[in-house]
Amino acid sequence: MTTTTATPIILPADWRDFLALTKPRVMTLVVFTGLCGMLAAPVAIDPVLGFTAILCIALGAGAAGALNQWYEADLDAKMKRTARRPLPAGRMDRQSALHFGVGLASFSVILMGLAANLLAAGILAVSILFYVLVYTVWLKRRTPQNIVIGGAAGAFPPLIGWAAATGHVATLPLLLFAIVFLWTPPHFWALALFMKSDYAAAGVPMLPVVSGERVTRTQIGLYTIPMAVAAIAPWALGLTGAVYGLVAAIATLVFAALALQVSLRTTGAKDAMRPEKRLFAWSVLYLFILFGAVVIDRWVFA
Amino acid sequence: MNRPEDAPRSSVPPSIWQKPTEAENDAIRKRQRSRSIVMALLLGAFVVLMFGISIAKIKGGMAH
Repeated sequence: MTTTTATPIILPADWRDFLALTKPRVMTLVVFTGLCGMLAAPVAIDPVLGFTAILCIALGAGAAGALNQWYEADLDAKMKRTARRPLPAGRMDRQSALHFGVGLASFSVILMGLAANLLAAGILAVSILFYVLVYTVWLKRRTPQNIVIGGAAGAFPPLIGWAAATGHVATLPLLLFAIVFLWTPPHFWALALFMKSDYAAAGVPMLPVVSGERVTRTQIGLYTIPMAVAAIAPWALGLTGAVYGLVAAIATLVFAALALQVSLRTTGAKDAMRPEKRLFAWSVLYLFILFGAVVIDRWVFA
Repeated sequence: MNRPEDAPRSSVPPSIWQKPTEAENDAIRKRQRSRSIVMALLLGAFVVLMFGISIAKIKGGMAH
């Protein structure tokens, strides 16, 4: 006689878990930079079409986040910061996450093509594919340069916002792309310094895990230099006015001072990592300030 | 794949599925209901959005 074990009842995933898959907190920065890219454009877009374009950027970012969580469920389970996400916590099956991610990505690109234009839809599609295939699948588990190259994925929104409004790409949105791209390494490495043990436990080759704290601190300092140049470039090239120039100069000086403090530091075993946390927090605020300044400057000088 | 619980849901014979208890049934129905409501709201919003996009495109076309 054989005994059979009954399968456990699997509850359908809650809608809040689908929402959590989209990484709403990351989305706020993406939506904000996309909106600023659109508002900085010299052409006014119809409010409904503009809203739809921003919605598509948000949905595309959400789809990329969902596909990232689908692929990285095993990694997320090993990290304290991510262990309570729907997939590692067992509140959702992987197939649902995959279907949701692919469906949302397709929907966002098609809707962008219908509401805005094909260029914006194309860049949105590239940004989703870049985040999922280049960053998540290819780079993240293989090289400590993962966030250097992968940072491009998060830099696309201002370009998409601008393209949605104008139908083309110009120097200013390319500089906004460069700012986010060059901002990503110091931002993520500051985080990686105080989350090092988490990344090490998951086997993610972040720079502090692979090359140590000293190298990471030096790299934070070095990457701040081209980031500062990119931040000042819109004003230096005459693409924005003095409002942006002044705000960018002050905000970048604060960033550089915090980065310098982090890069010159050596820490003991039980260090609270306050300067690193301060740099991380400021880096988030910095991007909001910089992009907000671009829009205000455009409104003032338009 | 020896144990039924390791098998994909579709390959497990229905005869050995565990019968849900009353409380589990309630939980499943409650979750399905909340998902249906959210889906209905999203579809409604999509219809309104498509209407808005159509009007904006028509207006844009007339302006040219």
